[in-house]
Amino acid sequence: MAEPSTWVPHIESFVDASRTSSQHDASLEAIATLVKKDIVSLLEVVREMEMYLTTTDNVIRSRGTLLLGEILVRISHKTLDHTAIDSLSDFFISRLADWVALRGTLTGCHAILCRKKEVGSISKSDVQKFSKVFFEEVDVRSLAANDRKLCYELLICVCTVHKEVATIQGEDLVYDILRSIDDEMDPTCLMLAFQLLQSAMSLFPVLSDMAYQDAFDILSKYFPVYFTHGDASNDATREELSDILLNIFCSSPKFEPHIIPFLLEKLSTSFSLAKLDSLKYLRKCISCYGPDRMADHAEDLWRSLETVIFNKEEDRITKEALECFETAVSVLITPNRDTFFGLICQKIDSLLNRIAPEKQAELHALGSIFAIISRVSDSLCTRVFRKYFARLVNSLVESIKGSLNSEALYLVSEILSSCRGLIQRSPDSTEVISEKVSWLNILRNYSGDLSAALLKLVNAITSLKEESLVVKQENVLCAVKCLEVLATFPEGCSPITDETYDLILKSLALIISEMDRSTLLWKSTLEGLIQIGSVAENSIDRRRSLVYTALVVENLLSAFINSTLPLDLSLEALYGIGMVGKHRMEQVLQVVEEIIVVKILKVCLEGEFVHADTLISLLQFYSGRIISWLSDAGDVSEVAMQFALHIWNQMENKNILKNIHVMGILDALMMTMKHLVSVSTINHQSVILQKSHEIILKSVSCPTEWFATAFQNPELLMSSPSSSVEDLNLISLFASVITAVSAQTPLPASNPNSSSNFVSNLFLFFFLRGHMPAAQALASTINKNPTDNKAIESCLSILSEDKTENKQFFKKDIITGFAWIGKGLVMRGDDRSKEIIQFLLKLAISSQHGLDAALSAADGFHIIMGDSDGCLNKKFHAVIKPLYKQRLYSTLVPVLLKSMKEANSKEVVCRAFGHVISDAPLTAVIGEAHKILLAVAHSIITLSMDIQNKDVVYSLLLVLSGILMDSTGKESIIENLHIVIGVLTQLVSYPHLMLVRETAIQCITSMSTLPHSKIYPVKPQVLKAVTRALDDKRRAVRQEAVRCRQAWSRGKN
Amino acid sequence: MTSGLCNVCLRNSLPFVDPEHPYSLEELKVVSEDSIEVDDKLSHVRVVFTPTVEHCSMATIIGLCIRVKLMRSLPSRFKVDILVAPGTHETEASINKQLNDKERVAAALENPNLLEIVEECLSPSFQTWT
Repeated sequence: MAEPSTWVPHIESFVDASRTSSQHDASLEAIATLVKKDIVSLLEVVREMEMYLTTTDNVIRSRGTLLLGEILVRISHKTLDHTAIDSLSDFFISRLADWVALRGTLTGCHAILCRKKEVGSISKSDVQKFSKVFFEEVDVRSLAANDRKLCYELLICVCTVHKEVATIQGEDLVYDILRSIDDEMDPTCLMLAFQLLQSAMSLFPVLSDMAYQDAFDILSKYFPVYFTHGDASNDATREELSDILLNIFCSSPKFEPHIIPFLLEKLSTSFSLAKLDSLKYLRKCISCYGPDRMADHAEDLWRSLETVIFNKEEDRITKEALECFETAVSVLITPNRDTFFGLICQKIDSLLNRIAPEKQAELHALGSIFAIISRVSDSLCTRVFRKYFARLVNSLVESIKGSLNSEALYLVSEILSSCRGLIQRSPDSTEVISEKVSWLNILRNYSGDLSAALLKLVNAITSLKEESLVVKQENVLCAVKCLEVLATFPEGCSPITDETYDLILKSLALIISEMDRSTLLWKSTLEGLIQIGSVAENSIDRRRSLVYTALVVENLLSAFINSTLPLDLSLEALYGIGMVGKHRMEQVLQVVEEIIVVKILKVCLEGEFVHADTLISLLQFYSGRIISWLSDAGDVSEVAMQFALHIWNQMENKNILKNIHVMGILDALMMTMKHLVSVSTINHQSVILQKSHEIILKSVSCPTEWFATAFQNPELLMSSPSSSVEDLNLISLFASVITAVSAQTPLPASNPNSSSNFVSNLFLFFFLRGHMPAAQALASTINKNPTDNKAIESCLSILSEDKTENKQFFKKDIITGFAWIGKGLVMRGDDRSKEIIQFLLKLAISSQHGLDAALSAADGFHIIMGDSDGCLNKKFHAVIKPLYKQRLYSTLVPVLLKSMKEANSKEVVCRAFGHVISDAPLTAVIGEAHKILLAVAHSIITLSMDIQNKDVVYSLLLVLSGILMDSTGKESIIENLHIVIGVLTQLVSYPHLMLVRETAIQCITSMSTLPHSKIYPVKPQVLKAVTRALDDKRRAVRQEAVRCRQAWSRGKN
Repeated sequence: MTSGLCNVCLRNSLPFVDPEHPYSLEELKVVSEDSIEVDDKLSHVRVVFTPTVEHCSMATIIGLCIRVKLMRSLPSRFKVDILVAPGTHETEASINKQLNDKERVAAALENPNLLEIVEECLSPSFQTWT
């Protein structure tokens, strides 16, 4: 045991009100630790504190009590014996009357009440005593918010941990609690108060009616929960409070006589939050209270809902009202209760007789009501059908002959979609299928007339003959929707005959081929056909599927082949139809493949260059959409390989090869080839490689021996005659195969005995002649085959030897090619990448080989750090080491920062720096914001002189704004505020790119939220700069400028 | 004391008073597009606004708000005239004089309370832009 002299000072320090709060905390923790570790016993502490607990000095007594209370909180897991607990609880209960020291008393009581049985808990009699004394002595409502919070927590503890004691007190407990929480306004406390009431009420299955009345009186004051001062600083949000209040009301059906009339009354106010919450509460209450209790309110409920639904309200209110209506319909209408349905029918009857075309809002409300009643249950749907469907269909059919009854059409479409939903949910419902008067059978009886009328309407818009029936597009849209619904009923319950089905497909297909393609009608018809297709595809009955193929798919395919539809739309339609199922997509794929080959022949052999654009679109569609869809849907390798081989077969024709590069066809073809190879399996990739390799060996005109020695003899390389177009085209296509193969696929050798260096030698040869695809392919090979050291060494040998003196190596293409090879190595995490990086850095910094070479080297960093769609990415199976960008970033930045001062051409170094910074992951950049911020600012200023750097300036500005958005980044910005503001205000009038001006102003706007004391000095400078932007020639910039000026003129915020 | 709908408008443009009914000056027909003339070549803007009632005590504040909004939104080359529509206010002349006197506007904006009101009235007009 420790000597009292060692720990009593802690008590004194805590009790002394003149000490700081941190000292108080420290001494409290010290004593609590001593007690926890049994170095001092609790009894001893209490004994030493006796004076502080009993003194007449209010301040000291309250601090003393608080200390004891807090110690108890901290030793809640320490076992205490019964005597100690009893005496402590006696002490605290007796102190409840001492309002001056109440905080400590409440803390202590809470700690004791919450103790677990295993560590010694308070006795039942004491809990009872506590609860009695508490309600007698403590007037919760008069306490401060923190104390009230403690009180509520205490009482929650009583109601949850000591349930049996709380239950003994009966209804009085609820009343006492109600009295305590009355008029509570603080959101955090209110949350606890609601929780308390909820747990107290859950203790008693039934309370007297009076109790519910009183609870309702107190609680209803809070509806709707609404903060007058915003809810930013509260722990409890509006939604949480609103939900818990709703839960209390739903906890007992006995609230029903009070809450329902109250909510209905609130529904008629003009305050939209009240409306919204009333509807939400009503919905939940209706389902909780059940049909018996709600029966009496049916009429009032309908009247109130009717007013909301049929009057024009905000969208969210109407939506909530309709959801509430749906719940009411499903709960209130039972076989023996008909009032609610009767009321709805009354309204429908009155409206059906006099609905006018100009009252669209009313019509839509009616439509929603029909839709909801029909989708709730089969029996209700049948009632709707019996009562209204025949009437609506008849008036629609009648009106087709004269002027169309578009209202009936709309309502029929709503009912039909709802009942299709019903049958889709339970397709085997025997009640619906077998019973004679079920809605499905009624629908079957009328479907003939209905579909005939609808078809007539749809055909009227596509027929070329001038008919008497003048139709509006929106009506046809509705009719198309109805037909789609009729044709998409699940198998076995289709309401229409096979003949009607065929007619529907024909009519819809006609819209696709004949109608104006830009309209909504065309798009929704296509969607309808896709829906019908997917139902037909999944059904066991093959008839409909076959009919669909014949009438829709083949129709569309022939329209595509004969180009009767514009290409983009016909591709969109084909893709939509293809998405129905895998074999449909394969059907589409086959046709597209054929057309691609036909177009290649047309362009390259017959010289019909008008087809070039079509061919490119087709290739993009083929590789970008069909192949990716199929590869998501399953195995596509076989198909892809076949087409890749097919393309290679075409390349054997010299004439095709000669023209394939015109008008960008080769690029599209290469991309397609890459996609095809990348989705193939390794075996299939090998087959494609083999085939392409054979063709290369056969067709490339320059001798293959050159390839192996080319890099050793630059003179020969440069002096040899330039390659033919055919060779270059062939190499490009071969390069695209190599770029996309996976790392495991073995590369072909020129003959079985030699090593696998043929491919790399070939590409090295063409790369050194400045052929970019060859460089990319070489980079891919190097990236994927780490064992192929020879290729890497050959490349690096060019850099290291005195060959670098050869001017030929400092052409743009070759430097860029080296950058690609560097990227391949860096991505793999190969150390040899250093040599290439150093080569590029040297070129950029020294500028000794001219400005062009230096700029190309600087741009090389963009290639190395950036992501590319065309090669060395995940899709094309590149080997990627995690965090390679971060690694390279942290190596490059110090070098570039250092050389920024010494470089011959600062612009070049800034450009390289810009690429490195903007391509690196933002988190890495923000982490070092303080180091690079000044350099970023300096680079922006240097680069903004020249128009050709505008993209780099924009990327750097985006990095700057990224730093600005981050909390640590903000600190660096504040430190360098004057410089950053200087740069940004200069960019406000950047002449070369609007995006730069706009982003700069946005950055300045967001800087207005930085601490006022820091930004105050730069305010005049900002306002002056932004004022110029008010007169900018682009509207977006002017608007940003106004927003910025507003933000900065508002002064402190 | 009754200042009619203008009062409603100003009070309600404070989002925390009643977020559900932010009537703007346009909705109250105090300012309409027809009552604004802009001459970009001559750098001149003229706004005529119509207080809702003749004795509207908010007319000056509304005018001041319009002026501040334009001051912040237009390049400095513009000369802005803000006028009460003829015959729509009892003290038309004095309001017009106040609103178009540079020094009185500057003095008004140095009054922190007044500036606060103006800022609060304007704040929604900057948020609703898309």
